[in-house]
Formats: sequence, structure tokens, C-alpha cells
Amino acid sequence: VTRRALTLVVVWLAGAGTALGQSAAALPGRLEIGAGLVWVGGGALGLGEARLTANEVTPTAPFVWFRTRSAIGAAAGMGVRLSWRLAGPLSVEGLLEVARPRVRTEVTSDVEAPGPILASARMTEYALGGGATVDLAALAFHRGRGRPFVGASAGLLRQRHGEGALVMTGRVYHVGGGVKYALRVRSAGRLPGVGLRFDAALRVRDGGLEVDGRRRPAVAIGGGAFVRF
Amino acid sequence: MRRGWAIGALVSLVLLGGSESGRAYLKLGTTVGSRPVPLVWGRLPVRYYVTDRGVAGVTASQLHQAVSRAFATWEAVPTARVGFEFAGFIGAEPGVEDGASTLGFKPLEEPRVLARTRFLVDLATGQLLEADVEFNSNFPWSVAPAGEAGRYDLESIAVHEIGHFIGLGHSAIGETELRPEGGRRVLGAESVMFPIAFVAGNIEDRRLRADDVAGVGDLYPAGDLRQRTGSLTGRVVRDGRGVFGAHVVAFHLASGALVGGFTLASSGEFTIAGLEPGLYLVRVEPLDDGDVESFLPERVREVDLGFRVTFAPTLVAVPRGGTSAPVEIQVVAK
Repeated sequence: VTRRALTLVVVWLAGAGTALGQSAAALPGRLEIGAGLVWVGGGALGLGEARLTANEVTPTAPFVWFRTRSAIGAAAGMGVRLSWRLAGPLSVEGLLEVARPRVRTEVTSDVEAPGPILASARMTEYALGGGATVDLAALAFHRGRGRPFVGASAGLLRQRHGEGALVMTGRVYHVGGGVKYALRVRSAGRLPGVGLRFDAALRVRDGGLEVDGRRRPAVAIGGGAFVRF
Repeated sequence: MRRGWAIGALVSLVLLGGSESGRAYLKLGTTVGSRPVPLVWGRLPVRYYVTDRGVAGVTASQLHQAVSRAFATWEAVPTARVGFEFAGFIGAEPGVEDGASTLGFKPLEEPRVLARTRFLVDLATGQLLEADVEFNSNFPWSVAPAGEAGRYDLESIAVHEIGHFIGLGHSAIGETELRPEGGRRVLGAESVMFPIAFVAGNIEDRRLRADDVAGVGDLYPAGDLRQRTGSLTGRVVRDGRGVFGAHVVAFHLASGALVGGFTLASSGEFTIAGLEPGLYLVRVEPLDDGDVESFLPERVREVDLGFRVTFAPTLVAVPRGGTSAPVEIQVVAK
């Protein structure tokens, strides 16, 4: 499902880029380097059960020792981006994000212990990937300094648990958009342009720590500054 | 060579303590000099005999087939290197020191014991020389493929006894309730090495669980098992002091696998080995779902049963080929 959604978005972005590229010029400069803060929303990891084989002649259901409900908490982190404008409004970019969310497991329904009981641990999560953005030049504002954009990316997910002793890997996908605002426009090949970027995306983890194997989207919000050469 | 008999199923052997304390499982052991060593077979495959007599409902040939399947179940564990070889039928009863490891029926005096395993041990090395499995002929037995109501499944009980045969002690991953007429009723268990059998007719213990797999892999590790699995270590304390005899269970968040261990040192320390790498929830409980004698017969009085079930406040990361950061679990009195 995730791959299909990603494919549709990329196709849609390509179509939009062609149309919008003809309507307005992009910000001057091709290379953009940005850094800032990110906030990744939490999300459920799923329910679990500690199952014992029931003592019946023909067990029909397990004897449940206890149940768990696990989730990843929201976390703030940092991110850096490197973007290259290919043509018109279309750019490709690479990104690295680091955050330290807390994994929480709530124990419910233990046959001997009154609940709920909470156990947790912090992990360090890296997302390294690449994608594309399209400036929505038709929606530009403030004499073209403000530029909404949409984008999508895919990358590698790396989670370090237990102070790095345990490493889990997977993939991570982002689909979203945002706005760039040029504080200073790059002038005639001399001073680089400087601006701010805010974005919001749906983020889907595929792999890494999983409990029930289901992929659930989380909201990711970022904000920072960029320079454009 | 010094040799000595011991009864495995009613474990009267020394259970490993000290530096080897509780690595994933209760392992049968002995002391060589002052050093605790696990009971293991030195030469593989282990040759075994089957008695040439059956009981009502089970012929000698069916007995052989059932125990062969049970041996094959343990042999099939990919993370362990243990092997067995059928040497033939034998007229001698099990439990006789004759150099032949024998499995067969025999009337046992203990009214609630379905089967037991006896060992002949080289006390100089701790290696097993002979192990005999005695199935109590006073019980009704079955080898029906789907089980048979009112009769105990021979293959299931054989899988449990062969666990002892290769040196495993009892597991405590199970939940029981006291019966008004005495004894305990098992509500559920997730290890064939749980000391109390399922009801007659149940065949679930023909298959090993994660706890059993970890146990046999710990005793007879195959190839790169130590590199592919990890260990979870920690300490159980009550009022600042180590708790002896606590049952510690590691629950793998991703798979739901349960593997147990025990605190077998007065410091309350434990190590559970042979774990699939991942994030674990750790549960500690008193050893009150079976007779303490069936787990730690030598140190019954030291076992602390007076604390509440407690979960570790942190999730524990078990790395591949390594050991987790130690987790401390503080328990409180009931």
C-alpha cells in the first residue's frame, strides 16, 4: 500500500512540475543547503500478547499471561538537507534526520499484577534518504519570496537501542509539503540566497522496531534555515 | 572413574550456580572439585535403547516410534547440535546401570509421577555416561496421532523427558492454580519443560517452544549461535538485597517469544542467553507455580517467594552476539 501511494504521489508531482514550471520562474540558484529542527509525532506500534498454551485436551485459544500496547513517542530532533534544482520547479534533495524518541510498552491484563504497568526505553533514530520537491510557483506569495512546495522522499531507517548495542534497520517514507521563504534572494552569482523553510509530512516507517508489522503514518514537522547558491 | 546415579525428573542433582548462574535455563549440573559444570553428553550422537515391552494400548514398536519422534524433535532445533541414534530393543529395564541408555515402561511407586529420567554421571568430568527414561506404566498411555481422551500422550511426555536426558532442568513458564483436592492444575504453559503435564489427551507438548529452543541451544550450541543470538542480564533486588530463586521471563516485543531464567545467586543476578536480538520486556515473579523442589531442590529454603510480580521499568535491548546493559528490577513484598 505504501509503495503504491508513493508511486501515485511521485507521478502527480511530476505532472504538477511540468505545468507549474511553465508558469513562473524558480528562486535563483540551484544548490540549497539547509538545517533545522524536526518534530516527529508518535504512533502506535501495536498490541502484543504473552501467550501460554492452554491446558485443555484440544486448546482452542491461548491462555493470555499478559497483554501489551506499544508505541513510539513523539520526539524532537535535527535535520540537514542538500537540494539541487534540476529544472524549473523540480528539485532533488538528500536528507538526514536524527531524533531520539522513547519506546513505551504498557502492560495490561497481567494475570498476577494489577496494571497498567509501563516500561520504556529511548532510542536514537536516523533517517537517511532522498527525494524530490516541486515548487508550486502559482501559489507564490510576497512578490515570489514565499514559495509553497510539495515533495516526497524515501530512505533508510536506522534505529539504535540500548546505547547502540542493538541496531534495527528499515525504510522510511515522507510525503508532504511546506513553504520556503527567501529572506534574501541570491544576487548575480555573488552572495547566496538565504531563507527559511517549514514543512510538514506524513512519515511512514517500514521496518525497524515493529510489534504487529503494520505500518502507520506519523506526522513530521520541520523548520529551519537554508542558503542557496 | 567415579560414577553416580541421580534422578533427573525429580531433580536431585546440583543446579548450576555461581558464574554459570541461570544462563537462559535451569541446567542440570554437578560439581567437579569445587567447580559447577553442566551435565552434558560428551559424545554425540547419543545411542539409546528401547525396551522390548509395551503396555496396554502401546506396543514396543509404537514406543520406539514415539520416542524416535521425540528425539527427532530435539534434533531438529537448528540452533543446537545434538544427535541421537537408536541402538536397538533391549530386554533390560530402564534404571539399571548397564551402560545402555534405555527408555521404557516401568511401574513407579510415586503416584503422581508420569515419568522420570535417571542419570549415570562421571563425577570427575560431569559428563553423562548413561540416562534412562522410565515411563510410569501405572498410567494410561496413547500414541494416537491426534491424542486420545483420558490417556497421556507418550510422545509429549517423551519430549519432556528427553529434555532432561540431554541435561535440561525444569522451566517455570506456566501458570497454575491450586486444586481443592490438592496439587496444582496447569492453566497454561509455554515450555515442554514445565514440570506439570497438560491434561490427558493433550498433545501440545510434542512441539518445542522458544524457551526449550533457547535451553538446548545453550547446552549444545550450534556453530555461530553465540554470534547470532544475544543475552539479557540483570539483577533482582528487594529492599536493597539480591533475591534468590526469582523467575525472570524475557518477552520479545516483536515476536511474543517467552524465554525464562532464574536468579541463582544470592546477589540476585541473572543471565538469559540464546535470545533472538531485539527489544524485550522483562517480568519477574516468585517461583510459586510449581513445587519449588522441582526447580531448585538443593536450595528450597533460600528461595524468596514473598514478593509481587514486577516488570522491569525499562525495555531491554538484546544485541546480536552480545549482552544487554544490566537491568535492575526492584521487587516489593506481597
